[in-house]
Amino acid sequence: MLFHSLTFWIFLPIVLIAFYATPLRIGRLVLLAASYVFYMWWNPWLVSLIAASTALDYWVGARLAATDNPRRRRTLLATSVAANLGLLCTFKYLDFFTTSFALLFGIDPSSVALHIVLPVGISFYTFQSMSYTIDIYRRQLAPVKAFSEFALYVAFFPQLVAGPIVRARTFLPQLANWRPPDAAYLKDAVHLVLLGLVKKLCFADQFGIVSDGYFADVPGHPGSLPAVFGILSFTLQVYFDFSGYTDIARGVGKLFGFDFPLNFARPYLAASFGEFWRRWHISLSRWLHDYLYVPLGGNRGGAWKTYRNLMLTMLLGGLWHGAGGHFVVWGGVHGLYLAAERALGGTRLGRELGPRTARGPWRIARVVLTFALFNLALILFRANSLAEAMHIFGTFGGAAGAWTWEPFHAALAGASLVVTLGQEYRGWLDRLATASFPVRVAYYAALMLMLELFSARTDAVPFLYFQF
Amino acid sequence: MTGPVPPPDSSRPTEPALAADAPGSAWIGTLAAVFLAGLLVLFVDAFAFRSGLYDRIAEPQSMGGRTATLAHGIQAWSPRPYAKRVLLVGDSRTQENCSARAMEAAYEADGRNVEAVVAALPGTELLNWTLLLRAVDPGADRFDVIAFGVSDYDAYSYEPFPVRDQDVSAAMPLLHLSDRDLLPRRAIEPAGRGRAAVCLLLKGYGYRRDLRELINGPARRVEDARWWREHVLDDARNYGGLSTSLAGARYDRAGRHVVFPSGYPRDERAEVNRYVRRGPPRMRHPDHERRVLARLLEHYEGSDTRLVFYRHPRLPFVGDGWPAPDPDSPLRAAATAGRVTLLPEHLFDPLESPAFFADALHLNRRGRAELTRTLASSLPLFGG
Repeated sequence: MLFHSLTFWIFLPIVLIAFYATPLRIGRLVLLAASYVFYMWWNPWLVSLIAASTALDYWVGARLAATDNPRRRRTLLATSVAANLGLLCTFKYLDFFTTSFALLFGIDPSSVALHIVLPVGISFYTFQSMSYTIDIYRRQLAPVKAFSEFALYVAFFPQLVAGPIVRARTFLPQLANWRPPDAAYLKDAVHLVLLGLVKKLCFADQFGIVSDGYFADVPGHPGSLPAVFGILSFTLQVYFDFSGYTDIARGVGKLFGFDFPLNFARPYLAASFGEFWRRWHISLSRWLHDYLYVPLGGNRGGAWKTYRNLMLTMLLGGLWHGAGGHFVVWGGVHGLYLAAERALGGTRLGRELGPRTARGPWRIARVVLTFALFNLALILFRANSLAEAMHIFGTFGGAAGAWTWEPFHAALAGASLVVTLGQEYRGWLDRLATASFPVRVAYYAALMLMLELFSARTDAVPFLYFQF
Repeated sequence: MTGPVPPPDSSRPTEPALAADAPGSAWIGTLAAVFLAGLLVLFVDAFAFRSGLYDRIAEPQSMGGRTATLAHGIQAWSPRPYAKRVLLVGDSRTQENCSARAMEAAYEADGRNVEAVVAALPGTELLNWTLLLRAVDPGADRFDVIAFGVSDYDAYSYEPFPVRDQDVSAAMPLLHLSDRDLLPRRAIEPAGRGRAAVCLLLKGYGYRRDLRELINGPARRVEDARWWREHVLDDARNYGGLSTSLAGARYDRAGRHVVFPSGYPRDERAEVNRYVRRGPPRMRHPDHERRVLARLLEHYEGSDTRLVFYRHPRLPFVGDGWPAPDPDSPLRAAATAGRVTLLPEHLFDPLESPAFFADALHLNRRGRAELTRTLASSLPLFGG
């Protein structure tokens, strides 16, 4: 059930009415049932996985709080982590590892591939569920008493499939102290849902056509220009697709009175990779920081240990995106970027240049450089294989080839840049979202008109991050 | 490090979720804003698209753009005084097989004052022509005879669905909300269903590709659209027909392929073979034809305009196995009731020969001249 499908827009009002028409203790169960129905729409059998993960972590959370024995607590935590990562590895990576090993030993990979179906949202709900048990282990959170509340935290449908990864200590207090959404919440909700739909249908899907066209037949699009436009299109597609999904998820959450954290903060305006990862997929970055980077030692063990920890975190972050060597390499490249920035920042030159280039034309140059390096790394992410990525790199500096962007695409990219800058420096979108009634009506109408006139396709195309 | 977050206390009595707050003023305000925004969208859509304003700059060579441009041209057409007015409506076969200029010349040779207009929309069918007539002949009194060139009188078709996606595209500029009964979901091929449903309410949705092309080249588009709106009827009038010819071709029935004369374009041969080989149509859509015909006849109820149907020459090589006529088909029933005139079904059979065809479906210049002359002498224009 996609957010931009007719089915969802029939499902949502039914759930809203059922939720608000019942007392809260029933309403929570309504939301839980609706969330499971939402998930089962994808595949009814795979709901057993999320149910099993939920049951186990609920039990682990309760047991952790009931004992002070360090060894027992470590065992319980290990059980939760092992079970969740085991689920993730089995369904997401087993085929990758078995076929990779087969290739290593000269065996035909197709003979050992199990073609395991990837459960939608598994990368998100396993991380979300693990954050609960880890926070209890760290004594940063007390376990929730009602199983239904924990189950709702794990499976709540607006953010179930592709995030944001919400921490239990953010969601559970909202559930316990729930109040109906006020006018500010509802204004934000409508603004986020409409904006998210525009991002997905009018921007992501439009650029997706160009990107998919290029990557479906790279040799058939020779030259550097198709490569540049192909990867630029994917850069824009992945941002608008993912941030659009998150906007809709946050907006729908607000309709039910829940506030999910911001997940994207104009990442392509970042002037460094450190800043980029504080603006891109913020919930995953925070998760990796809090549960991987910091436990590894963070930046507390000297320069080389810091670089090691950055690399490990980013390599695993790359692996999280998919079972493929090119995802790991992509993560490794970002690890290198972060390590290099850290190294440069520690030098005398870095300490002098840092503040001087934080504003004005130098900042613009840094933003452009960061964006260019991000795009180069993204080739590794999007290409169908490492070999294909190398082929694409090889086209730069060669013959130009054909323009694969129309003026229409340039207009879309230009418009999105103007609005992004407007939001960054003047809060345009925030101001429109909270403006007076007539202005908001005109703003909503403008977004609806964009959906009517610029949506790329008639059928509902899945969100990119569903494959993760 | 801060202490643990206090546990959510689910043992605390919960307040009813609905309480007095929802649906409170917050929800009412929000829903009102969304509703009014929706109304504003409908208004802007109607102003820009439903009014025909956007059609002035729609791509004139697109399915919808051609319809809008042709409609504008015919609306602006002003016939000679005292001339009988003939409108020749149909698809690309009408465009290729009929000449307005030749028809007028044929009548003039008999001393008759006739002005003819060819209103051909390639790739369309009766639905599109009915909508076109509603737009260009609102009072059902602009023409003495309207001649429709059709494939047959029995609603046979090669298509599994009577309304194709391209028919929806062509109909876009002329669709009204009241036309939803002409477009039941089951009659439309799957590719066009979603768009047809949305476009009945929000016409701009059907112009997305057109709008994108406008952004790609606004100056060229505006100029093209302006030119075509001024010259669409002249262009059709001055068109001379297809110069290619299948004269000398023969059909190898054993091998099931056409033996082409040397010089026949190679890139057109596969298409000719495909059409010739497929044989007679086997699918029928009488319900759709009945629906659309009813709308057409309702529009011309009480009018002096004669609605005439004729069957185009089918193929350059016509084999056996063509379906038998159905006396109860919607067209034949309408003819029996005196509401339309059907020209003899086999009137143009003598033209079903490669000598008169340019490709598998369209006549060459010789065939065009012959058909136009025969049609002119057959139309009930002067008391016939």
